[in-house]
Amino acid sequence: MSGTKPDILWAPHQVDRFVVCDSELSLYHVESAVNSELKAGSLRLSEDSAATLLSINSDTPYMKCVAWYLNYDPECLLAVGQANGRVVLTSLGQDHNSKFKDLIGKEFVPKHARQCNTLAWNPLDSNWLAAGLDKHRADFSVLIWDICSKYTPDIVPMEKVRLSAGEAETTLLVTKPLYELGQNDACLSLCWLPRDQKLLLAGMHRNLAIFDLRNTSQKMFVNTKAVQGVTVDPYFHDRVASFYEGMVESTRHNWSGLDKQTDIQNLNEERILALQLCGWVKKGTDVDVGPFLNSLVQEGEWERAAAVALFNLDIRRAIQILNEGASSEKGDLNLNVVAMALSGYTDEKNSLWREMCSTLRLQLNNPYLCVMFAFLTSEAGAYDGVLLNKYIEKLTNEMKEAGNLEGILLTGLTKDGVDLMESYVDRTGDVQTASYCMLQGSPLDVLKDERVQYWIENYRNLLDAWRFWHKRAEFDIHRSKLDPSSKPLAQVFVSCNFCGKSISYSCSSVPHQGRGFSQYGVSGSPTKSKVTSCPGCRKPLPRCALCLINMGTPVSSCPGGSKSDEKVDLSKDKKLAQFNNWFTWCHNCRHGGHAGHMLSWFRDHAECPVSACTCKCMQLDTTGNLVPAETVQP
Amino acid sequence: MFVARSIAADHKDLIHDVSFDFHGRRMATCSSDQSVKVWDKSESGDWHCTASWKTHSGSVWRVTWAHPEFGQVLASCSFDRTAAVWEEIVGESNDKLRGQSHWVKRTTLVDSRTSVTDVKFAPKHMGLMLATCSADGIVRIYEAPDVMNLSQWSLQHEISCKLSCSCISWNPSSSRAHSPMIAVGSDDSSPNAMAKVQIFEYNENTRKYAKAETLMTVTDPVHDIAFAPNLGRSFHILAIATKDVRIFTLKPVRKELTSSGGPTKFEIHIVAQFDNHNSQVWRVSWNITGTVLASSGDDGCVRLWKANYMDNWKCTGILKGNGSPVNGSSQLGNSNPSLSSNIPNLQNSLNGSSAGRYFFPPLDSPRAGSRWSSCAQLLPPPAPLVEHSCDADTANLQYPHPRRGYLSRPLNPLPENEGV
Repeated sequence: MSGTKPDILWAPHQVDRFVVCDSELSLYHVESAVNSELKAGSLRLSEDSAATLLSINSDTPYMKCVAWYLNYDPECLLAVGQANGRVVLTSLGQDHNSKFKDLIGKEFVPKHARQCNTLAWNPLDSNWLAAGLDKHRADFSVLIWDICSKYTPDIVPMEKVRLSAGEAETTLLVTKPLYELGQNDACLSLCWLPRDQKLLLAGMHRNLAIFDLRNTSQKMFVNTKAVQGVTVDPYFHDRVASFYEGMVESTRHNWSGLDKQTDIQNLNEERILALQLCGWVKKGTDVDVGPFLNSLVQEGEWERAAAVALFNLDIRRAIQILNEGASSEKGDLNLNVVAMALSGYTDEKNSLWREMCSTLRLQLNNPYLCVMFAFLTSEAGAYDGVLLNKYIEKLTNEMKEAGNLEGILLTGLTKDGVDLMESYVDRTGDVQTASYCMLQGSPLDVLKDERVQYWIENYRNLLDAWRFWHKRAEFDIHRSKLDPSSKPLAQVFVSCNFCGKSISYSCSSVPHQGRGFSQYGVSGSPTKSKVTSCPGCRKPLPRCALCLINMGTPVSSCPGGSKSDEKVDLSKDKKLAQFNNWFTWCHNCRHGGHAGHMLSWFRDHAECPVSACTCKCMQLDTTGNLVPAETVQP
Repeated sequence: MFVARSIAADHKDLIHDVSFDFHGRRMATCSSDQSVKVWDKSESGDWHCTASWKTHSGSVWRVTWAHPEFGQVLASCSFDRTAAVWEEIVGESNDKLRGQSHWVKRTTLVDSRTSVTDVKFAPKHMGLMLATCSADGIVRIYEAPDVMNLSQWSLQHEISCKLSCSCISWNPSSSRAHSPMIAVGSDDSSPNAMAKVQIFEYNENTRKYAKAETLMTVTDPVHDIAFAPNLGRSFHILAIATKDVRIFTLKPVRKELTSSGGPTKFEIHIVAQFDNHNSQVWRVSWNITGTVLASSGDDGCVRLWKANYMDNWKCTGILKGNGSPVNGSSQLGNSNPSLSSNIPNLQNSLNGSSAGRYFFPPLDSPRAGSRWSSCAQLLPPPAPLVEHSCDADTANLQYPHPRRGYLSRPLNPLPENEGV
């Protein structure tokens, strides 16, 4: 962007807008323009479209890089990295929203001035902006700014600020970044990992690094020259592409160094999921039970609401809810008593309150009230008593008895879960749900349960009877992924007429290298045989009854992985997809040929194409002529 | 609603039985005209007769299909005291031009001294076996040890029922927890005859079939009997056609509680008994999931029965053979108003996309002395087991559950066949 090479940025949310940045920022709007007349400042893009200049911003000199704010609002906010390392927020919009007015013109200043190479907005926390700078001795080169952070005039010496900027703007300077990374290095490119707010991928000098903001002392890196630009595969987050001087490199990252952190994250996600399933929180990651409490109160579930409030350490709210419950029409006056007891809560270990509560709570009938006192009287960290084992056991048994699928939350995919599912299947005959459910998450010992296997067999039979063969095959594929023991063995081998070995490349060992003779004079490397020859003895395979050419089905897992073979293999993969080339033969008369040729022959003929053979190959199998249900349905 | 389509079967006498094959694409009929006809369903849904041949020298009572993994195989039984096994062969006839297939007799089973009243292939996991029963009260079980050779059948078991037998049904369960089991019904009308349904179970130790249960409550002549497809259930459901429709459940008492080696003990409950036909019930037949029972009776109607989640069985549809509507939900014998609203839904789900899925033979007015005046056969409905994900109401209907609402979606990961 250094004046000579303009850069173009598309707006993240409006497909018809873009910015051209060279010495200034120009915002364009794409319009259809069939007429030949163009407005002043417009660019013709094609025969029927043109870009109209909407606005020009020349507030920020020495631009080195620009990044467009990712949120919808304000939509025309841009971060500009300058030659002196400063990052300036500027806007191209006409609509200066008052809420974001303060942001415009805000500057983020590094300790030492050097060129700013790259900028990246965090996709999850829209206020985070990462800036990559050139190297300056032992200073950091990756700075992460919070654009909403308070200005820090008190930390920065006032005179320095005055030197660097006009008096009116002193309050708009930020000098304290959120994170400083990449000490003693230069940063050329940056990219946030799409799903993780705290992982930043950076193209540093001679390596690609991943910074984990949860633990800034740690970084993982791979040495590569391709650091000029970097981006993450949006569908496969372990794959990263980077480039330098016209070369693109793709890297697969091993995240092992970060496993521990992600585990914690997962645990948290699981907890949130559990809370969601219990209805405590709505979708999203914020754990605010307020609305949930209100809805419980409205439905008159005072005890539950109070317990939830208490678990969120809001004892005052719990007492308030209980009082509300006592005073309401349907409520129980005893709730007042409970509230009173709650208010007497004390942290002392040997208090009378504690003693009374732990004995009397056993007489409470309502599980929520019971669990509240168990929670308050238990030792910190020891929540066994709180878990209401008896109640849960009773509930589990009820669920099992009733075949209520929600009970799986209690039993998990265990033996108990199978019992529950058995009573569900007994009631419904729904082997589909049972099969998928048990297949999905259950460990192998549950899968081995006879009942589970029986459901699966019944389900597969059912699909077969309905001619949902494709679905059944897909189910089998899915199943073999989760339960490798269910994988069927290969059904058919084709063996060579001469040597009797299987002609499948994957089954044969390395071709005979020692015997250099190749009877049928295949030119090229002697270690590679033609697909139309037996990989064992290199004699030709049988001929197609129709085209009279030797058959051969290319197999991609061909042995011999030298570099020169790779390109050949690629073309083979393509061929493998062509069913027309496959071997096919009649089990009755043993005549056969290329699948495509055979199919087209039997479209018009009933008898085998081999002369004097009267076998009616295609009519032998009635089931084979049935059409799968998937293809007949509209 | 239902559409009844009649097929001009062109049998020269009363049709006694109709049977669908495993996939529901073929159908076989048999008649007092001593012939069997095979019907194939075309892509357009029409049924075409592709074979018709004389099978016996007497009325053919029953015809039944073997599982397609044994080939295209039929068995028939007749008043001429024999049962026969037929196989379709391809490419050896000159009838190709007429679109006719060729069936050859592979064996004749001649052990019975009296009319053979029923024949049924065993569930396929038992191999290629079939059972016959005859008017002299003997059930015979045959096996073809070489499934590739249909002309060799050996008589494995002879079970004496002491009552003239009219119908048999294999328990379809392939669970290893369940031994092979066969239920036999009797239409013996002599005044001293007692219980009409007996259940025999195979004993691994003695390698013999032994009587496991007798349904003492069934004392009237039984015309048909049918175990429901098991579909993973731990217990068995048995439907009986007598002067009314009855449904029994047989829950095996857990093996560890019974003395090992002896026959399985069952807890037997009658879960439904309907006299809505107001006449003799001739046939009962289950849908493929064992959730809907069809019964046909001398009133000229086919009635459909279904249980809700609480195992309350209700009538969910009435079909008249001539296609005329049967008026009024009052006839449904349905006292539960909440269920009646579900009936159209159920019928849609059963009906599937095509009206040709049910076949109801033309119903003559019942003749005096005819053994069977009507028959019903429930075809496996191609509608998926768990009703389509696009229709939440239907799913709830199938598996009504008071508290399932929001949990049901994720458990239905299979993309159903779109567009039905």
